[in-house]
Amino acid sequence: MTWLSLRQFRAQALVATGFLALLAIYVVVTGPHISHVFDAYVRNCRPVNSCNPVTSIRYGKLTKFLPEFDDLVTLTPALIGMFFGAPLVTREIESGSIRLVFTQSISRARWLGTKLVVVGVASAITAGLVSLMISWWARAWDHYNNLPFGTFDTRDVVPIAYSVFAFALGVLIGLLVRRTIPAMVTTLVLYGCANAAFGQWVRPHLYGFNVTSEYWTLQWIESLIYVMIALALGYASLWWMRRRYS
Amino acid sequence: MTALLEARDVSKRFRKREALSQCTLSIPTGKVVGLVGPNGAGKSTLLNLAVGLSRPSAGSIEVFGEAPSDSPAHLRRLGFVAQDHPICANLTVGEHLKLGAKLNPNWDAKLAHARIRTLGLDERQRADKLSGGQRAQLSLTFALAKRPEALIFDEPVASLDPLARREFLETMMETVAESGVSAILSSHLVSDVERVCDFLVILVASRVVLVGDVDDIVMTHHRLVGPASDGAPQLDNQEIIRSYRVGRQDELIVRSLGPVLDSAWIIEPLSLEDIVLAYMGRGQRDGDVAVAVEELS
Amino acid sequence: MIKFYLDSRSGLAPYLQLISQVRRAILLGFLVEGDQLPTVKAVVASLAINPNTVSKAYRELEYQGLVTARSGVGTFVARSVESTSVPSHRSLHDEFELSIAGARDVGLTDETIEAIFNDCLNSSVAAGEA
Repeated sequence: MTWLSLRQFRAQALVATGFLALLAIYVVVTGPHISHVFDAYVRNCRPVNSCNPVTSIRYGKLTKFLPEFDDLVTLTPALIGMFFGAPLVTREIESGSIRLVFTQSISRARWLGTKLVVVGVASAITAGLVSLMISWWARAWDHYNNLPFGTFDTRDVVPIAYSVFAFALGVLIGLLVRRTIPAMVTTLVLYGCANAAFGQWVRPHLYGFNVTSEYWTLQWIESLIYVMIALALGYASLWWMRRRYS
Repeated sequence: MTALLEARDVSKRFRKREALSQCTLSIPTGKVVGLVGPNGAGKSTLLNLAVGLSRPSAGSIEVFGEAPSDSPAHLRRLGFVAQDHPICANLTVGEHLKLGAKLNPNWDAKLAHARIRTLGLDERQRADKLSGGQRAQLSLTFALAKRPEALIFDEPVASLDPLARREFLETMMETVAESGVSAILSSHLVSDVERVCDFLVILVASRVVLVGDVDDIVMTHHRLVGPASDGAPQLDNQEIIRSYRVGRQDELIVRSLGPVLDSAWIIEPLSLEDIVLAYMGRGQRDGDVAVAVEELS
Repeated sequence: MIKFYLDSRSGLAPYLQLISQVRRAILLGFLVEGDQLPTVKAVVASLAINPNTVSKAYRELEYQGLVTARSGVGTFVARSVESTSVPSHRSLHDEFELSIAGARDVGLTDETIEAIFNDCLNSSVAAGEA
């Protein structure tokens, strides 16, 4: 079953790998340049207000364009939910091949459970690589700004947790909706709402404890919450599968 | 002896439509069973219930004495091919065999590969590029290599050309002869069923109308021809399935519960196809000359 | 070896057709004592019929004394047609061949030839000749 999960995930894996490779190349090629620009700006322009206009302009351009790359990390969980999660079950339902798999000597729970684990891990790895690459690439900018909470949900561990959540959400929606495109759209919308709702209503309660020096504590707490919800959604999928199909 | 399939008062509803109504039947092991009936009679529904792809709305159904479930021990005893021969589109033929090996403990890889070779299929070809007949044969290989105790096929030959149909049935019958596996196949083509089945279930409009050994059925059904009577004909010991009035004669298709006592009737044997068609047409207007003429031509 | 076929239009049940084909083969000397009939599996694989049909036919032939079943080995022809009648088969065969060729030369269709033959066969029975 592990083999089958991987084999059926192959197309998405190839696309994701291609995308990650392109990102890696871009990050490696442009990363040093960015660091250099920031170093130059900090060295020459911060203490004294008379600096090389070129340095200033370069810095200005970067400050407008770097946040755009944060959007990439923001989008990653949604894309994972839509392209890894939603089609996990819907493609087999739509093509009818689920009727082939369900009449082999395997329980539904093992079938879905294996797919959840295999592609869930792949989701976490993909998100982890994106977060890692962008975090590294923007480190000079982050260090200079020194406002870690400004980029809280696009750095380090949290994007991984978001992605695992979006994936589990996509799978459950796929099971309920049973058609690929509607499931993808619904996943996108629901993920967006869930994320916004969390930011609006849950986070303030978390911040109540301690704000400034507890960046990493909050990263781990928020990640843990999202992962727990993802696990709950995974169990819900397994439960729904059994209820509906046998 | 545990029956292969035991249904007690089984009903299945889909929203407003009742696909199966209070079906009770018992199918023994060791037979090749034909499940026949017009399209929409409920054949696919019944088979899907048997393999656990859906659950009855009412009543109980048991296969090999257990309710259909997704337990691997139960699933390994059944080989199922759904109506459109589902396959995984992106996988090659060879990868399908690998799938079978990985998901089935009883998988006979030697048999599977040998069959694929005999059929002339290329293991590297993608399954969605196969012709209809090749796809059917791949599905059949899949079910056979699992070494099940029973094969359950939903309209396995409906979409095949005559040659592919014949090859499919030959392979199926060879397996039955060799391993004594039981089989249930549904069909709306009675001629195939006549050739291949020794047990019959007729479903019409979501109900079971006849169940039994083919030999028994052929022996207990007759065509009776006799003088027209006023009103509806009646006979002791005979259950009238259909009646036609043709000119000055009544023609009856009956199921005999005993000997025909009235010597006014001429008794003729019936082929299985005639019997099935009579049951399938039951409930239409009988005793109507226009209908009778249509039926006879 | 005999190769079976099924005529779906003959109105005769499949197992009866198999029986009659074996009987005919024995009568014409194509099967002799000791010849093995095809296995149930082989017949089923070439005709796509139920194995029980073949078993039933073989059992009936055994009951008629024409074949014997040796378990684990197969089903074998138990009786040959008398060897004395084989030459007369051959001469009758040759006569028929000539008559048919002549009839065709004159322009008769096979259907007509068959009808005339059957008529002779039936009328000779009616007249009490065996």
